[in-house]
Amino acid sequence: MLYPSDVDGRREFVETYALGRTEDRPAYRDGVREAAAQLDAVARDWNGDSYADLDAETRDRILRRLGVETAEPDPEGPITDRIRFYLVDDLLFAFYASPVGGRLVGIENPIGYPGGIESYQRGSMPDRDGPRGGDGDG
Amino acid sequence: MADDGGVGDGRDRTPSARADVCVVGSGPAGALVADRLASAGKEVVVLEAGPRFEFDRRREQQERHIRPGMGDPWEMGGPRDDYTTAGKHYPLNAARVKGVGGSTLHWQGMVMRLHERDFEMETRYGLGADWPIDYEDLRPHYAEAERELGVAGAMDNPYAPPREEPFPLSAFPPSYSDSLFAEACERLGIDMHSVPNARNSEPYDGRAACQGYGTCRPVCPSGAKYTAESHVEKAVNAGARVIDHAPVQRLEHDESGDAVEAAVYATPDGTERRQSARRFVVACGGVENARLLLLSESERYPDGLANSSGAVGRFFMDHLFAGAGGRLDEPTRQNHVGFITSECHQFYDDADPIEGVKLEFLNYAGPSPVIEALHAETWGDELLDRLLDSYGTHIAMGGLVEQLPDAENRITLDPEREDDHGNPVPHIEWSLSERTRAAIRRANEVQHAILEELGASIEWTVGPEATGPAYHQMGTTRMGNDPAESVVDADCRTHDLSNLWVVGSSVFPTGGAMNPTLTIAALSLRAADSVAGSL
Ligand SMILES: Cc1cc2nc3c(=O)[nH]c(=O)nc-3n(C[C@H](O)[C@H](O)[C@H](O)COP(=O)(O)OP(=O)(O)OC[C@H]3O[C@@H](n4cnc5c(N)ncnc54)[C@H](O)[C@@H]3O)c2cc1C
Ligand code: SF4
Repeated sequence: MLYPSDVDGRREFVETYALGRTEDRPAYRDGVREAAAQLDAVARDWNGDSYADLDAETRDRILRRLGVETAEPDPEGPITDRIRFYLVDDLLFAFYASPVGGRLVGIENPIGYPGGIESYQRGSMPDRDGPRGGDGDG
Repeated sequence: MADDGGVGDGRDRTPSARADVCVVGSGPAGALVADRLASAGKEVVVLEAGPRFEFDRRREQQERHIRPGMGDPWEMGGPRDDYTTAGKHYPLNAARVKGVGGSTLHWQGMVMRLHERDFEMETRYGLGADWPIDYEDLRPHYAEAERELGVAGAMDNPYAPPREEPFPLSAFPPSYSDSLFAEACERLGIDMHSVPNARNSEPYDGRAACQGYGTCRPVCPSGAKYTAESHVEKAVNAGARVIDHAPVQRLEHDESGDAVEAAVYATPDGTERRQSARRFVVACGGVENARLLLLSESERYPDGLANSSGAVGRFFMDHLFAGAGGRLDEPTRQNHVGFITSECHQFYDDADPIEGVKLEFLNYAGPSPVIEALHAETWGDELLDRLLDSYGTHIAMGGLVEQLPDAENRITLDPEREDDHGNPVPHIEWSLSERTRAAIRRANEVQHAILEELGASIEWTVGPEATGPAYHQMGTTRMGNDPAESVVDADCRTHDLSNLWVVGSSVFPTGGAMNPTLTIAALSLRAADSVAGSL
């Protein structure tokens, strides 16, 4: 529910790309795990179910009720700020700094992702609109 | 175990036996001198205030830049880097980096030569001060500097100063948005041309080709953007020793006051150590060069070392940013790469204004979706709608405007505030003259004309009020022939002390409106010859 609703393979994206990204950063991974465990505890307390088992709408409501959408991301802050940092921003970063998220917005090589050197001269995204005549690949 | 000065990495931070040359600072100015002299067989010790940043962590540093809440990727700020300002605020810690490689760790990497007129502003216009050298003197060193830094460029700029040899690397071709600008500029009779970039358009000097991560400033994870880490590494391979976490507190001179004897540096454990050498090269950047000389006051030199002219710290200058931007009703394809590919130097040599003005066509107008997503107060479909609304049609121009030297713009020591080692912090007094403001307005006029011709709706302008520095600190140890008026001579050697050189943009008597680092590099190569010749 952090990702737009018409994206296919969201779970797969999270499992392969987003989680793989920080494999070699143990302290960071611990932070993610702890924030996830705490969010889960909140979900059980408020809704009697593990966070992952709740429907998207309920999950969204929990995050907003915690104040996560306006929280300052802070790896050392209170629970809300850590959820924003380790869970929400982590996933948004992984998504919008990759072509999967970038493409939805109109940029196939967003910053943070290598490949802009191929695309910066093009007038449009390939595969979607097709290159535009003349002023394309140059 | 080695005495690592309290850093905890086990690297020896005790001084070497008396070296041939002690270089203070490892940005491009210091690194190039160190490499030259070490390669010539001299014993070189480099003292660097900041840490070494390992290359294999660049992806993580890049993430720090993109994501809020992770701090500055180059760890600037805090008591070590404290400073105070008066007049127009100068954001010093956004404007430099302390670490092996210096501010090139963070820099953008645009590298152009100054124009012929920049060396003789006083003669031509009665403004500022002439340099003691001219373009022809520096020309061979410019060519050398372009090879050292690996500059990608083309010979298509009709306004550039004379040169024979092509650039070492081919230029990056124009971006898509450049092609949109090109039509409007053609109708207005404004010329666009390539931009020399210290960035690999193909593999060069053991570094990879640019891949387009788009975050050149502040972090290039591929190594395609030149940083002075390259020349530090070369210096080390040639036998130089680099001690990081070693801020020099002061330089100490001999009894006669003719020569520097030692650089006193402190390590994090608070111990002060003395590195002695036959020659000293100060390369601490535009503010710290002046500060170190001022901190090195003695009975013999109560106003600071090498300061019999009183010019140390004075004539502080930067380039001013002028810009404007808005939206088009078609895609502009921004934020694919983090550098620019077209500029316009057509107005640079004009006499109205006399100040140099350089115009830039940006490739990163408007917000980048990922950064905006991380600052948004929502997610999911609502976030996507917002991103779709804001990304895609932004377009913008930037530019640099020259600031002429003014003795009242200056760096002093602030007796009220101390850094982490108990030294007074730098105090920056800086303001803009009416002349500078007028030149900024002129740059805005041209920018508006181009954007209007393009059919853009102009949404913002950075003019004389909103302007800020381009992070090029210049002028504070100016170069000249007259010891009563300047700090260093044409070889960057101080007039007052026979074995002390100062390198970097602090020696610029005037700054033009071109990014300074290629000129810094050329002057450093020239100074290195002078140091070598003296040994
Ligand atoms: C965001 C940004 C973008 C830029 N973009 C461009 C560009 O596109 N083109 C361009 O030409 N220039 C650009 N610059 C400027 C460029 O980075 C500088 O001109 C250049 O790095 C200066 O070189 P330097 O060696 O003189 O000083 P620095 O690179 O600043 O290095 C000085 C070194 O000395 C060390 N030091 C300071 N004091 C002491 C001390 N007391 N003891 C020991 N060591 C000390 C510092 O830690 C530092 O590592 C940019 C700068 C910034 C910040
Ligand atoms: S676009 Fe910039 S950050 Fe990316 S590889 Fe090229 S030089 Fe490096």
